[in-house]
Amino acid sequence: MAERRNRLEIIYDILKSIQDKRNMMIKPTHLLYKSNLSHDGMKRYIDELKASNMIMETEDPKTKNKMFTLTEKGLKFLEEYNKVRAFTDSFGI
Amino acid sequence: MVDLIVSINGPAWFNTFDSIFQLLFAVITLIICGFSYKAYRLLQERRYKYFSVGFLMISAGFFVLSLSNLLIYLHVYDGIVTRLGGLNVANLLYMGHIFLLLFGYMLLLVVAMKLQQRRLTALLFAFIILFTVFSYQYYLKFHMISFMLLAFMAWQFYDNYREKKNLNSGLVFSTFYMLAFAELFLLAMVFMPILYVVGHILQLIGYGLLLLMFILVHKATKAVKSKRK
Repeated sequence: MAERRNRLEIIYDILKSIQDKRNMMIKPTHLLYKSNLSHDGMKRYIDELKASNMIMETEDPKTKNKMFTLTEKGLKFLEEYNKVRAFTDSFGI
Repeated sequence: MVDLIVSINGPAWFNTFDSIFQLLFAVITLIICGFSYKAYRLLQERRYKYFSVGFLMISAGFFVLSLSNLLIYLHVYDGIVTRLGGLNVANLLYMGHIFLLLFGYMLLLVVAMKLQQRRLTALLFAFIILFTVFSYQYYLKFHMISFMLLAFMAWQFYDNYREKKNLNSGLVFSTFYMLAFAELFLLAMVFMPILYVVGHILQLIGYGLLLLMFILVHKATKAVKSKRK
């Protein structure tokens, strides 16, 4: 059975899902599917990430759909997280 | 007790060079300590704090050793001994270096081997300290225990390398393999002083590989970032 993700890993997965998308924009429904969370669970995390200024709501210029995108702070977090994970993985700790 | 400590150094031409090497080791381990602390701040997991403290101890240990040797080479130490009424400062510093390094290595081993039981960790630490303190051959005992701790770490990191099969984990394994190997040369220098130099060169290669791993971790993340631009 897969290990339960901790809070930080969930935040990383959400941010990474946005980063991996073209133009770094993702629809809320796609994010729900990618983050593998319940609707309520995802809403809590999205509110937290918006409040901490890591993601922001935007509009698709073509379809006018609601989208989420990464802020500079969100990108910086991903970069730091990747560095730290690469470092700890090198030691296997 | 302190007067019986014997710090053995290599050939005279290598004096001062060894201090510079040790200062370099102190700087590299301090960098790794800083990054481990960053990992602790970000991930909020206690093991990264212990890992950071472990590298801090090693860094302080090398700094103290470098200072102790420099005091001897620059003859500053003679004056200090006179002023302190015969108290052997160099021996005290050498003893401090032994404790700092052993404590540092032990913390790294505890984190690397994921030892959870505090009592087991305390017992391990007690054995190491007792074995080192109740002895007249500080130099030999210190390097013997260091060799064992570093060899077990190298073994642990080798398992990690076999699992991950990437360059960075290979560099970490090679670092500790080199450091363990260096301890054997530092032990054998009692019979052949030139081996002291070989031991230091192996340590330099080992810590150089650790620094390389650190640089690669930073470069890889930068490459990902620039690819997106």
